[in-house]
Amino acid sequence: MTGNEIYRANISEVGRMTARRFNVSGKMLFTWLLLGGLILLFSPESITDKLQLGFAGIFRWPLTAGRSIAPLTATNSEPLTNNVSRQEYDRLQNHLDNVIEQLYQERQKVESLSNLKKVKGIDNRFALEGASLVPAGIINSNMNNLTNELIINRGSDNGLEIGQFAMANNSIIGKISAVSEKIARVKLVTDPASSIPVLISLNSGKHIEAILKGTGSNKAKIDLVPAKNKVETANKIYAAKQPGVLDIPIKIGEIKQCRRLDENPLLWNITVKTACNFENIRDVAIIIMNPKP
Amino acid sequence: MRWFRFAALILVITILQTALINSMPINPNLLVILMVFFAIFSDSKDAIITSFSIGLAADLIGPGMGTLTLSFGLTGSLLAYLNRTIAIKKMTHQAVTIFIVTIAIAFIAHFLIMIKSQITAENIYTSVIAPAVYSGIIGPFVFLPVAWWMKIKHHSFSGH
Repeated sequence: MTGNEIYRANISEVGRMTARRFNVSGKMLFTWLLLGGLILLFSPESITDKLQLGFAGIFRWPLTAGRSIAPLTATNSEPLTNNVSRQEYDRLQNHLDNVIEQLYQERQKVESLSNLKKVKGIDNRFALEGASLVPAGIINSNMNNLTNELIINRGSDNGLEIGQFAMANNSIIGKISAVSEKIARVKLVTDPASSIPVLISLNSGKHIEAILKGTGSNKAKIDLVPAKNKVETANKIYAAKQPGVLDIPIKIGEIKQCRRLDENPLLWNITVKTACNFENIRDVAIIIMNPKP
Repeated sequence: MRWFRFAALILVITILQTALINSMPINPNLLVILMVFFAIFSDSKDAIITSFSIGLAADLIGPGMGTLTLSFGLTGSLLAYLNRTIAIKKMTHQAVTIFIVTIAIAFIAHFLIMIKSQITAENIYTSVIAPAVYSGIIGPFVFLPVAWWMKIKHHSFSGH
């Protein structure tokens, strides 16, 4: 017996031993895999997020390439009107609404300052003056009835943190929900797990506070608004100020439909149309209010 | 089972599904089609392993880890068990099976997400039907190149 034959015989013997050792029944195999699935299901999101972001990070190139091909196959291209695309029109409209809202906020500040002239140390910076906007490209999007998320190509290396707001077309689209060094996930305002404090700008000029909740499939709603408030279709919705995260309200969308709740007619059931069409966006910007030097 | 070929196939299909097909107006679920294929044309143990593996791949691009691993694993294992007594050979039977399995997976995943994070999605019924129909129609035709790649004998066109 040559050395080569002895080697082959040893290898095949090891193979047979391994096969005997791992020769489990179908039921046992199923039980083990089921147990593995359950462990995965109830693992903390901080661990499982890393797996998903890791996959997106490793395969970012084919995923981005696929996204750039996708518009060619999609049928929801938007018509041009008056030589300005709908997307550009929406972007400018959102900017105008944000400026109007900022004007309103500045007026409020002037009124409060006129009443508090003697108070020193009042912060009189302009909105977003100290903020930095980090542009990011979209690696992948996940839009269905269970989840509405974007994977972007910026991470903690670029100063991103969980809870920061993401903008597109001059409107708020969501918040950072998970972050790794080079990749982050944006949970859109329409995600069923999303819940964001907002302001509803009424036609009377009054602002009322509410909570915007995502319902999946590019939709969001607002509940628990008392019916005594005169809420109407096309009223603007703004993300409410959050100290250290968002210093000025920025537009999210507008009311598409409002009707009384069936269970309680004293409350509104409001459906919100987002200011930005999430399926068409290619780039986003993350708002970092107080960037580290 | 040729596991390296299987791994390469799942990787390509997962990327294709998330990067291209999910954003198309006609969006069949290729991972469900693959799971049904392996549940029908593999032996029971391989079918169980492939079902959970494809579920894990779906989780990497899905709403949260674990939900699709379990729903694919449970459905695929059940299908492999049923396939021992009810042979699913005709294309029409395969199409109907894919349609039912797609809906079953969506409902199990939705149920698991409700348990995990107390989230309930609206309009689940309408959003599930369209991909299930597309998957059912396209599925039996996808079986042919998959069978060729995996070198598995496939007689769906013979009608036996």
